[in-house]
Amino acid sequence: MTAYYIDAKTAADTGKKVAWITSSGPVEPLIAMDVIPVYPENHGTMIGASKMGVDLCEKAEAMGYSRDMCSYARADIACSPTNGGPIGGLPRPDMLVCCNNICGTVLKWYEIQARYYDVPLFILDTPVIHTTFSEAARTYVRHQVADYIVFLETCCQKKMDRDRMAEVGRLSIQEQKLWQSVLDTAVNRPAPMSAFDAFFHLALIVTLRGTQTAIDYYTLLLQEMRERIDAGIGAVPVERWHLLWDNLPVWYKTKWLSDTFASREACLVADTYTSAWCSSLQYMDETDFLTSMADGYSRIYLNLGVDQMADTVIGMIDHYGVQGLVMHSNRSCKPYSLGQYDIQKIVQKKRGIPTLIIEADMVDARNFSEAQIETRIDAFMEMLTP
Amino acid sequence: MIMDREAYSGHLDRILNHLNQMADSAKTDVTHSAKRVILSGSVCGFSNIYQIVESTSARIVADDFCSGLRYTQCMVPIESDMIPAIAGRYLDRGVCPAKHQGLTSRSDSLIQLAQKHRADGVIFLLLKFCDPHAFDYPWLKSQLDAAGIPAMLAEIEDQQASEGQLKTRIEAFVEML
Ligand code: SF4
Repeated sequence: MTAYYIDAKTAADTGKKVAWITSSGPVEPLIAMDVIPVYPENHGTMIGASKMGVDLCEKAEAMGYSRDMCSYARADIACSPTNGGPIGGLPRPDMLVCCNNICGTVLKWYEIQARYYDVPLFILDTPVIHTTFSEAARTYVRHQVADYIVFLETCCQKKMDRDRMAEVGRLSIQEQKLWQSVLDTAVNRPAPMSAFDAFFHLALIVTLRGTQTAIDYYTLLLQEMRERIDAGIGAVPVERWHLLWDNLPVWYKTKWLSDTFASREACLVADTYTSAWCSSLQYMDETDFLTSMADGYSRIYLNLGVDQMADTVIGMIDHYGVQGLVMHSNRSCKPYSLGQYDIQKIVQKKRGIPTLIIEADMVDARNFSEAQIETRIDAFMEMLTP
Repeated sequence: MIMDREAYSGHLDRILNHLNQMADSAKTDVTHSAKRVILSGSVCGFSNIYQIVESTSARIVADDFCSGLRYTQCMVPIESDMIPAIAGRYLDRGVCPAKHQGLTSRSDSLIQLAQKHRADGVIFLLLKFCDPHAFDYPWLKSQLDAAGIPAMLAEIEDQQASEGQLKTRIEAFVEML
């Protein structure tokens, strides 16, 4: 990751172009065009983890942005004029690529940055799939994928090498499969890794998807997890309960949350967040990556209707054999949090397991009350049954 | 938005007559020296805002609400093929800021509206938790500032505005215009 950020920050010297792109956006064509992708949301996680979120959010509020808006967006917008954050701000973009398959927030955020940096903005609009992905929606997104390639060719003033594109697509699919295998190791008992480990190892599938570096990293990680399984080493010292996490991590409190659950003999074996980076694998076609991108990028977890989200959650409950569901009601992320109370009800009805809702925010620590959350975790733990 | 079309168009005729009469008598009215303001923002779920603003020395000369001007903007050309014509209108009119229509289209049209109506100021009335408007606000405000048009922001929770406080703030704003 360090090498990646050094590469990105020195792009201007090496003559490479930099694109800012949303976390679940179509990065493979950028890699194929030799453009360095930079992820403001990944930057947001670093800001959160280094506990710089509150300060930057307050700066954004002083610029006129409401405190109710996504804290990734607030922190990033405030970083631009101040060069703030743990790495002194992101490298200046040459272009912006925004895919709204995760939220509408990114559209507004990227409009702001497109005005600020005065660079071209490409928007890939993926209609929300309330029930089914219609043929009209598919055609609409496919046309935009074609436009996207033209956009990149114009920005980079060179043609796309289709063979290279196919190769990057192949690597990307291979990585997503590897990532899925890594996450799947948590079905073992003891679980060799927890969701908190997944939050950490996620960085490369987000930022370096479609590169050999990521393949090597996840191959090694998978090997390590298999060794742990063979040796019977678990992620937590005593593993009595297995839980599922929903929503983004609370970046400035991951250690505290991980310790709090571990000390109560609970391991969060899986989560809906990190698995989103391989959630549409089934729609990706190795032999025709560009065409399959419309499905692959539209049919991800956050772009689905609540019923399908609940199905996914229930699928994970069964797959990982969990006894309880912990939902982070994230003040920042409306698309993730809005349907949670419905999903909670569906899960309770269909699986009858205890659920806990923790009200917090992924970056803005002003919305986290440790004492209150600890009390709620204790009450929840008492409800669990083997 | 919800009324029977036939009944509604009858009402519109009467309102139009009434407004024309008002416009005639306004020519002799002293309030023409009133401050001219525009309301801008999301769906307006707080209709008392009109009385509150007009209880000061200001008059509302236009609006830029999702449920106001932007709802009725642009005509569907009735002589053409209806489905594409309706679709065309949706694309042409000022869009809800949840959708993209260029990087400066909202600020450009707000400033044009203000200039056309010779507005002295703009009052933003935003619904709390309506992200698209909240994201646009700092940019719109900066562009109005640059155009020399003062603006203020009132963020209200649906139906729950504290009227007294809002009135005081609006009075102070209007006085300063
Ligand atoms: S609103 Fe949610 S999905 Fe969108 S950028 Fe913020 S955290 Fe990510």
